[in-house]
Amino acid sequence: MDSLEEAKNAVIEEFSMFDEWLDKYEYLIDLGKNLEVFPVELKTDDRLIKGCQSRVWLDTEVKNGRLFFRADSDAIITKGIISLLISVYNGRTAEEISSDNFDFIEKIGLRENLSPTRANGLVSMIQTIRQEAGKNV
Amino acid sequence: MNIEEIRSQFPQLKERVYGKSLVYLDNAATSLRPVSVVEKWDEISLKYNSNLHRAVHHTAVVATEEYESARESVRDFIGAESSDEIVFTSGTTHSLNLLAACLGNSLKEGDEIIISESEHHSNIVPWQLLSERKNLNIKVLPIDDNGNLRVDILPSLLTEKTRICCVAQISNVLGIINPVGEIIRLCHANGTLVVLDGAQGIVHETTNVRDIDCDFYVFSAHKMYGASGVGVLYGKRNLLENMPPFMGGGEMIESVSWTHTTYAPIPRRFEAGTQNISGVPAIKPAIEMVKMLRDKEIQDNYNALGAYVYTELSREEGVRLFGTPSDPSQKIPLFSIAVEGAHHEDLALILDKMGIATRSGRMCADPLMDRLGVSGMLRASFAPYNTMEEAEYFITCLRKAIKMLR
Repeated sequence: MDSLEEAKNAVIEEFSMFDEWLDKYEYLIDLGKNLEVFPVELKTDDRLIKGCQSRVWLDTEVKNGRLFFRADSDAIITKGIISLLISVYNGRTAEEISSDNFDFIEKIGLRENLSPTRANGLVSMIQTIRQEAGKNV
Repeated sequence: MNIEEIRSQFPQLKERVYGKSLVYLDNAATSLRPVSVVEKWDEISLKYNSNLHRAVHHTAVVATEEYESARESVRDFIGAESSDEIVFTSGTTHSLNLLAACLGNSLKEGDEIIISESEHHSNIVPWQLLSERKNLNIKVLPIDDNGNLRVDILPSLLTEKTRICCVAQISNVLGIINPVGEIIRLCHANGTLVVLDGAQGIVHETTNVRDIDCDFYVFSAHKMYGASGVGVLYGKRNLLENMPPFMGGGEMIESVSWTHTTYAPIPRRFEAGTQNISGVPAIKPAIEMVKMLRDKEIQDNYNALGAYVYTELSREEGVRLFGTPSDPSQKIPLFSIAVEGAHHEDLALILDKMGIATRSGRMCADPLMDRLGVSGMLRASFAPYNTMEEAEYFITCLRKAIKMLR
């Protein structure tokens, strides 16, 4: 398994190939559509991260000190970003995740998707991932 | 008047986002500011910044005159009888909270408040807080499936205990001009006071508070080309005079002692603390702009682009347009939609990249979202400075965005 840093850099490199926002969004939409199906029985209120805009469901499992995430959203671009987050952070230790700054989202030019509005389920999702990691350190 | 002349007075219209011309269609949230408003703000800030209603020095006298002359402008603009009936607040939300707290003071357990189903949270939550304190009952005046208020059933909701009815002049989600005249007539016949939320209405409708005979009328400057942090509460004199103060401190007092503090007369009784020194005077040029934009050529363009967007959205496959009164003239160019197979947040993000500013989400109207069975909407709200080209560009881009997402 690549290190967390390597996994982040791979995503940043992948995105550097897109000059146009259109291509970037199309790629994210594609990732979102292909995200592993989130079991409907896991769509419970305690897994729901509420936002004014998109809703995000996040399920966390801890196995042998490593965290595994499954997530879903009703908005497809958010789902694409979820897919990126999962690919980068899945299977990492709580220490690795809680000491990370999650800056790669900004580095791939998705700042608008992380605007600090009450609305944003994605921001809350990152906070929740960090909290889950924090609980397991 | 030529639309380009108007546009030149709103410099933000020349901004570029992601290399594209900004197309600003979020006017129902906050409208753009003309140079005249910014200049008034600057003038006060740079030349006359000093506290109001207190000092005798020249600078304070000018600042106070500017502030009080803004009050007179607002009085004239909405046709109030006296400028004593104009209270400056920080915005519509502040105005409504003030009303709920002060007007609500005289309400008793079991009294009823009617609130329309299409209200903004700002005209719901203050009344809910009051209800919790006072054990009141809130009744909902419903809408029909097209978004029209069911005024026909209002008489059946009115009882001898109904003290207040809260309704928006124009819904911020549906864009429908509500039949406030009829609502006020029915309520008054029952001895019920009417609080009219003019946040959207102030800029679209020519409102004369005495003609429509509403008891209270509230609005914000930032949705009518003015500064943010400035709002108005109009109330009939006898009603305001019978209300206790909202917040204490500053120039809202007459005299203060440990045993007996007395309060200033209206409107200053409700203006505690230091007021918005630069923002309030800037409402004068904002009012001038609202009047200027009522020019026939500008309004013809505005109506034409509204009709165009309405038609295009109505016939777009899989697009649900909310707020469709049988008489289209009762809808302003404010379009909230839900699109099959495309989430409102995704649409707004893609449109943003195309240079178009829209609003997505629940529009501060959760109960209405639930009533209409959607998790949120995309809203494009036009202003008279928007052009037909921008309207066409919006429709083209919306189609592209939908195609990308489906």
